[in-house]
Amino acid sequence: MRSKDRIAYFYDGDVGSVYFGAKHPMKPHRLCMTHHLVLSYDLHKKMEIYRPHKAYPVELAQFHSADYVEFLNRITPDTQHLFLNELTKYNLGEDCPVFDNLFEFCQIYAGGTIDAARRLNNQLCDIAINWAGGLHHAKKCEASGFCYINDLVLGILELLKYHARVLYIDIDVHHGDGVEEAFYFTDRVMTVSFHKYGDSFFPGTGDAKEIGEREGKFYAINVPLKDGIDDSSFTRLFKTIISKVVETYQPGAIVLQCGADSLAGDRLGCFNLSIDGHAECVSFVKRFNLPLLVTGGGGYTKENVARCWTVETGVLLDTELPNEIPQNDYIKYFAPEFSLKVPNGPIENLNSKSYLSTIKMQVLENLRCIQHAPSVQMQEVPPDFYIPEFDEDEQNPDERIDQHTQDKHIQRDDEYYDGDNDNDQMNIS
Amino acid sequence: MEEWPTFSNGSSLDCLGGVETVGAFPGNVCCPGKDHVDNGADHGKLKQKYLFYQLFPAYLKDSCSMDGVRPLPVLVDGQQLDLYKLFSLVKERGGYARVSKKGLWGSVTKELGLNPVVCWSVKLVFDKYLNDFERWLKKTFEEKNLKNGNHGCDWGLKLLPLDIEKEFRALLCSNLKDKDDDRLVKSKSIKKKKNADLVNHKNGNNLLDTNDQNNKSKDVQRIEGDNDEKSANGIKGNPATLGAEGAEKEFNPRKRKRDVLFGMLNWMKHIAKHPLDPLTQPIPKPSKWKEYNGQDFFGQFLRAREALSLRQHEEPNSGSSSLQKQKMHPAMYEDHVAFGRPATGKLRCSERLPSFVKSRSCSCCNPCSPNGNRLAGSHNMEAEKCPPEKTTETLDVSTTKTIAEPSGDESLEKQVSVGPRFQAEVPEWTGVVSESDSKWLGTQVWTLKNDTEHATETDIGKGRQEKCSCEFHGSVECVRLHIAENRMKLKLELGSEFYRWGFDRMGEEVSLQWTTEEEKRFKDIMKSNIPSKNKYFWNNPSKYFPKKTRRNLVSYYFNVFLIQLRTYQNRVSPKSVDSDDDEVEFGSFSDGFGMEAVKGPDDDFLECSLNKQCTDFE
Repeated sequence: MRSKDRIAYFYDGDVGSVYFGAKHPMKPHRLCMTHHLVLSYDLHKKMEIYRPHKAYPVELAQFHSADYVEFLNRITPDTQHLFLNELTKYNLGEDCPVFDNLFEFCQIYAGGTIDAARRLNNQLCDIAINWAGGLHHAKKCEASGFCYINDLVLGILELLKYHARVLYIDIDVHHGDGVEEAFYFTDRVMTVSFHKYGDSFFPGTGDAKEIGEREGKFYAINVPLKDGIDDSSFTRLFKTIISKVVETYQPGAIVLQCGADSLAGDRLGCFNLSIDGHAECVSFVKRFNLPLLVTGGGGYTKENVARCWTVETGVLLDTELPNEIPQNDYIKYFAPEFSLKVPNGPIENLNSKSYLSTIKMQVLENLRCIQHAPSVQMQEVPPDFYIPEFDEDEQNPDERIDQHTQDKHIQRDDEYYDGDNDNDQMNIS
Repeated sequence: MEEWPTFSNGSSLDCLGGVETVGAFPGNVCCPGKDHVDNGADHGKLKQKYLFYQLFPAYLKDSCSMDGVRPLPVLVDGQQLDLYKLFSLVKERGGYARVSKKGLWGSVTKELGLNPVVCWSVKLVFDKYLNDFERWLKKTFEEKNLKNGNHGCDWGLKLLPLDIEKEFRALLCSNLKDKDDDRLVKSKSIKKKKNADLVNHKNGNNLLDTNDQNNKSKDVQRIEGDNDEKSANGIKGNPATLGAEGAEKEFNPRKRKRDVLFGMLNWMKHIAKHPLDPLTQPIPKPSKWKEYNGQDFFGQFLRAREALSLRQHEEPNSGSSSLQKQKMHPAMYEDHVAFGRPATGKLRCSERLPSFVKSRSCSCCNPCSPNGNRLAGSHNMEAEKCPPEKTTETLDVSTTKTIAEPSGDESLEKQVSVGPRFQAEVPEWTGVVSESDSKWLGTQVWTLKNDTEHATETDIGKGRQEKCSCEFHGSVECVRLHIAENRMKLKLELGSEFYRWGFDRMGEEVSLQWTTEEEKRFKDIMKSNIPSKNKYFWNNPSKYFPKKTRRNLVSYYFNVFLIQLRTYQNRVSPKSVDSDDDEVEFGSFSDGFGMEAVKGPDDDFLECSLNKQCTDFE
């Protein structure tokens, strides 16, 4: 019944044709495969497809330092030996090699996420998908972990022009350190990352103790997990935390990074999620009916990436896909079963029940601090207070929040904030 | 001892010097420093080279027995690498850490007469061969000193004239000096963390005043001094204090799996395996540990341990009691002396940690950073709220943690970087929608058909048809036919977008634009079992295929080569295919199994994928 969500899907044919180099696990070709599979399932008949503009350097510099963007723009594989100092400075080489059309590649995927955010802002769609985006490791002044430009940060900054608060959710197996770091000081973005932590797993950040600082304190949430987490424990934890987060934080929009390296059998990942488990998280987030920007991310077993993101495109379109993959040019990649669902392996789940519940308690405890903090904060920063009303005005009330959540919201307003609100208004008048 | 002032901060150096005085070479033993090396000019260099090539085989022999074979000669970019030259070039530039930090590998590579593109390989060679060698050398010297100048040890040193050895040591010393500089940076940055009491205590005494301390230990308590030196040397090799900041670029930002863990594991493994190493020096009894605190590196170890236990129990104020409760493996202090440890392993973990040093010192050296580094910032804030003792305690934990972590199983803790170079500028919410550029919203290339067509939703998202009218359902022809059908259908539907999305460049059809000869050449290159060649190919593909663009090659690689390979794999080992793992993929080409598996049908490789045996589509 809610298939009326307007979906905008972003794709550029050039994005998959770049090559990070021999033996580099990141293969943009997976984006071609994903797109191909999406179309093989005829999903294009249910959505609008856009070609993103190539983001201009000045747009990229809204987050990144101008010198870094400029350098990315200038560097080519042929000239890189002249800039060894800069390469080191910007952490290029090795993990983040300089390859042909690097900058164009960045422009496309960043442009996709920015465009997606703008379409959401202008209410031209309800859900925007950019599988090419989601490069969450990139830092303000340097590349990191196969990521050069942090399109997520740029997209969120765009969303912040229309929304008081944006929620960022990251289910990549790696910690979403770039996004967390970018918004470490602000309460206008809450970052929630579920990731593997420990054993020197990249990038090394993402302990539950990292909660943000200054105004951003308690607005960064980390859910560190151990190897082999399976569908049931992951989705249960995800749902508990995310529903509490949305209820508490009342975001105006959600950005969901769907890194597929949290799937079982990923080359770099170590979780044991099936595509169904992964997609269930997407489906859960979709049910909040908030403006939703969905991006890709990691994912280093190409065919599973294609499967996963195709299934999730289907989920966002409320279309369940049959398991048998239609005949297509890439069918051989999907051997031997030629099916969408791949079984998750017999990997031991190192996350004990007690460990998971400790993490959960810790996160919920931190969330409680937010609920109490506003009484202080709201007085200092009055604008924050007007947002809910504003957001509601701005949006179509039918679409925004289901009645249940809305009721809760109203009730809470009465309970906690009314007095403060009055004070505020008196102060202002 | 004329060079002491230069090294007054260098504890490890002091120790080395101290040892020397005690040991076999009284008198003219202190490090002559870099100048000496430079002045030594040609003659000295020749001698060094001679010495190097005498020592290196000895080292290889030694390390091979425990560490697996390291082949010689070392080839980079198809040329034999002069290891001595590399060694001395790096030393001239201040050592591995400094070269990495300053990005000087390019110039080193150039001076070696190689293409600067391969600078990372050169760095790797240094890392693999020479860092370890250097360590081995140091160790050998120390051991010799311990044995009171017994030249009879079988390390290939007995042939060496004293003065050459000295010069070689000079090389080592110039490197040590760098390390000590780095350490100074660290202690500075730590100080900035307002870590007044404990850290000053620790760093001050250990790092800055080791001169006194060494003299004292030398003169007053011989045995203790011996021990002291031991632990000091241990520390020297210890991950936490070895100031190889360059390592951050090397190890930290690695996202790929590789052997991030192995270094650590090897290190741990060794300690576990050799608990009763004969070279283990006596350690003061636990009851004396408390007074031992802060006097030397042994004390530093104790602190590290304390920090760990504090962290485990999360009760910051029971420091001294937990000190006594916890037992520590004796080998923890002796790791530097212990033989038979895979030194690369140690190297790995030793180089990972100091990156924290770097990120910290960086952010606090950054003049435009009002926040300083995060620790300073956050703990200052905390300091306002917390009672003072508690703050110091937590600070101590956080600083010593970096030292302590590698010895535990815990992962390394990295802090979120803080400062204007890291955070995004988020404007305050004003309640007013700011202008969002509505010009760039993407170009619509596919529109939804109107609602009437929506009715035929049953068509959307249908899977593979189970039945078809083909004579042999599931045969190669059948599959091909349906792929072509679907392709045609898509083409009609999409129109020009079919090309813009690159669907014309998808699938094995790409091979139609290639001649058989080209295809064969491509395959040969991919199968060549020299990994570097493969990499080299992608660095310069036009050399092999002048007419193909890189894009063509990439497209061919993914659309034809990999699919054919996959088809082949599907038949050979359908249950365990991972066409995405090109390390394994190409690895299997190169190692025995894969080679044989592929060699057989090598000639008709192409035919294989195209012949009629693909019946496993069900």
